[in-house]
Amino acid sequence: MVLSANDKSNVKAVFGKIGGQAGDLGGEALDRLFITYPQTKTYFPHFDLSHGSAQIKAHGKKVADALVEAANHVDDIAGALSKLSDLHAQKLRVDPVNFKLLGHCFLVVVAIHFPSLLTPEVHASLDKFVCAVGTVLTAKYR
Amino acid sequence: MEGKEEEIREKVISRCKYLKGPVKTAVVPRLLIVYPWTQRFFDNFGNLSSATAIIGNPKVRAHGKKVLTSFGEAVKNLDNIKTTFSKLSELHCEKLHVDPENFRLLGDILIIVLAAHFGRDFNPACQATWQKLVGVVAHALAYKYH
Repeated sequence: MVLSANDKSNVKAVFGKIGGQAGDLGGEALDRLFITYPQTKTYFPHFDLSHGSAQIKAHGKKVADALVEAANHVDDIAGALSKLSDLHAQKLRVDPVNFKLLGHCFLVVVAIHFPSLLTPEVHASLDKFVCAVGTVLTAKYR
Repeated sequence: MEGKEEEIREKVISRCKYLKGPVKTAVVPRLLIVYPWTQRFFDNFGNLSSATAIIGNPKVRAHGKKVLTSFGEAVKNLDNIKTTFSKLSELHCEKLHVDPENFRLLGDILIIVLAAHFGRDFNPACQATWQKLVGVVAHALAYKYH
């Protein structure tokens, strides 16, 4: 899926509005991921995964920072996330299906905190964006 | 679904009754906009050329109400959902030829619409329950496929 100029502009606008809250949103998305899709917890046996744990918040912020980075370099997401892509391919090897799940949870969190922002068109753009990020992160898997 | 989930489901559903209008009419248009390939089933619906056209399209709105009303029926008959949806499942397979993946897409859109309406009330436990619910509905609708 290719991001149109409109998509890119929508993505930048969303992240512009989200601003400094991105880290919190990332934490919330991750929290929801573990509660809604318990199988995703299998990637974090070393974490305290209780609702709202400090580790979830910290990791959520990492995830959000990557999304912000991708949004800031929306013309070259593959370039911006190249190291992260290597990491996921070589070390983490998170099954590709899980990126969809996290992407969905991120959209839910945006819908909760910024409902008026998430018009159907912006929703489409953001959905494409998180798909694109997932694609980049799994691109080197094989 | 266990006790606590039933409780949450009741809470969420009862709120849903008051949001009949906005939730019901928002879901299908959003599905057609966010996942445009789903428009393939609605060639006879007229103008779907833009988000505005889709949102304003009376056939789309009517269909949205139909779908969400049906969803409501499923929720009332959760213990018996495969039976409740048996004929609908056959219809979607034999006549409408809808890939069951589309039921999952609709479910995810519904979740996001609910999230936008309920805000923080749509807490993680709520979301988890609703994801299970849309999963159960999708499964029931796909059950008679052959």
